[in-house]
Amino acid sequence: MKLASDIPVPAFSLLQGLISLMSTRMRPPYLLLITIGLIAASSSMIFRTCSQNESSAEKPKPPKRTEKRPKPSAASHRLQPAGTSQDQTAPDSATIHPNGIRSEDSYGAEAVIPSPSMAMPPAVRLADDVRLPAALIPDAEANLTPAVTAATAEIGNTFYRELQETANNNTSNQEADTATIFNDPNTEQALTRADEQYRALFGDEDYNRKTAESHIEVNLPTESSE
Amino acid sequence: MKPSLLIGLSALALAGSASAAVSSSAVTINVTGATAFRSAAIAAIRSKFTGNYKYAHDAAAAGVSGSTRSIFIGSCPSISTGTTTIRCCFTGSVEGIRALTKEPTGLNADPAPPTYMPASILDSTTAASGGAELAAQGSSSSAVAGSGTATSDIAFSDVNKTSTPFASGSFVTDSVGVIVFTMMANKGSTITNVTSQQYRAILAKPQPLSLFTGSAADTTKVYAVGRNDTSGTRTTAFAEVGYGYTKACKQYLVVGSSGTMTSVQLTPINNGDKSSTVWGSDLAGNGGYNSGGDVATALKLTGTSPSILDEAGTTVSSGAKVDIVSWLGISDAAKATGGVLCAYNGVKLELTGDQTTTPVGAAGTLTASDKVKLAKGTYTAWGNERMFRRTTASNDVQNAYTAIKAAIPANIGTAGIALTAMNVTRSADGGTVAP
Repeated sequence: MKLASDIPVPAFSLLQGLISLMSTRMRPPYLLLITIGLIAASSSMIFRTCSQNESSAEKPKPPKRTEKRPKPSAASHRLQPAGTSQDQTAPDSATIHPNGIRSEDSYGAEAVIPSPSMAMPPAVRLADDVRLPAALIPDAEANLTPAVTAATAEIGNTFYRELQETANNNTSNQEADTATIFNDPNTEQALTRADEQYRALFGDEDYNRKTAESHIEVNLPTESSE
Repeated sequence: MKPSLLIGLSALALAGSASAAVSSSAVTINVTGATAFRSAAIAAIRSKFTGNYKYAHDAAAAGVSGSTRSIFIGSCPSISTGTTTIRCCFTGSVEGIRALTKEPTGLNADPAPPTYMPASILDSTTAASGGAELAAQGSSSSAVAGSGTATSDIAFSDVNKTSTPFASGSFVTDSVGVIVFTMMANKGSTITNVTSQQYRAILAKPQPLSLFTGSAADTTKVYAVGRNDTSGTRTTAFAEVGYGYTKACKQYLVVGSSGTMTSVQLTPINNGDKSSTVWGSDLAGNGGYNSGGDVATALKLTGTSPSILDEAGTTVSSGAKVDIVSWLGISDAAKATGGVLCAYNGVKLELTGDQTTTPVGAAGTLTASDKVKLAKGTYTAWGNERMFRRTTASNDVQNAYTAIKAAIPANIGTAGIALTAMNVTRSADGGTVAP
């Protein structure tokens, strides 16, 4: 994967080269205009890249019950180009063909052509009323093997990937660096899928405990009291 | 959009959807994965050999449809106009997915890779229409068990890759049917129904029979017998009942003689193909059998008064009646002659050939009533059966994947039912069942 911090370097070198070229062959007014234009173009890329870079370093922050938590950013979970992405299945939306086969490779198929917006989706940030999935509620007492830890992290990654894809499909978000995710049916669906996966991984008791914690964390009533 | 770009994108899309050209040279495809679905997988593979072919397998009693290893060589026009060889080694769903993510040898290799039969085993067999069968080789034959390793190409799995530690693998996957499971107790047991809670309880530790019967007089113990963690059957069961498939359990291995259990032992650690290595928890009790057929064999035994052994083989107790309970695919359940087919959460499959209505050893086919219970969602011991291949698979593997996938619905047989028959679905392995 290309490091975000690598991107500005060649861009800056290109800028320097062009300025050097122009300074020898162009008249000052053109030089000034083109220089301003190039700086403006490259700065937006730099800002976007820096934003991604900063967000990539963010880890989901442990919720604090005594204060309003900042929702973890999903910038580190940007969609990968087709062919390298995870083919996380979405059975509810999959089509069963008349021959009884259900294709589930929509996320991992080679035939998917990445759109420009897929290549650089916006980062996502959860609104305060969005509950975290159980997999993202930290557990200091858990003594997990590396394989189980990785599987838990993958649930969180998949959750954010789904939200990011939804945000990316929302035209109002396509120009934004960060899209705020609100509590809507798409978010609920991603949350349900993540929590069902967590339940399968750890069982009912852990699932109930973690989802109760996540409800408390977001200041919503628990399901049992609803 | 510019016309040239549009044409280019259309061409790319067409290229992506078109089938790869059929090879004219010899092709070998290695198939692995779910043991519970192997009867359907093998039937689908055989259906693609439309010309003369020959085959060998390792299951003397169960026949090729119940074999762990098999090999088919001959004319399979949908894969190659030359000779096609398809080799199968079914050692579990999770292991199947692992085998597609790791090489069988080298650094970070698959610790328990599938081993495939050598083609040379059929050198002296002449191919024939409908398939010429070489006499069963038996699992102890060095030609079968010691045939070395090879990279796997296609895997069948009872679970999605997200239910394994290998979720980062880049695969093409399709659901090809519904795999059906059942709770079962051993021959002679008085247990007739197993709830999610009861199964979770015996996975944690042996429980008194009274937990199942409600009778205070039933003080003998009920033990869990099942698969190791390479199994999709186990993964589905632990997810479905809410135990959690990464959690360690206390399962037992059974030894019998003349139809009776002689010992019931807590599964030892470092126990070869009976160890649980997928989630990094090779702990006492957490292992299990590596085939549903072995579980079925244990369920054939009566538990009159076996010795109870700890993981080291030391006798802990003896002289008392023992019941064992397991969850297994219905094609394996049908092989558990004399085993007691149990209801799950109060809903029981009838299965033609169930020994409670028909003498032992019959087919175990889903009845029309059973299919309604599944289709409408009243019976939830099932999962989506999936096929996997790498996104980077060769043209030959892609052709084989496509051909076998298309043949599954018509050959699903006793393993399960077609997706088109279901009115309900579930969003994850063990997840909520609803329309």
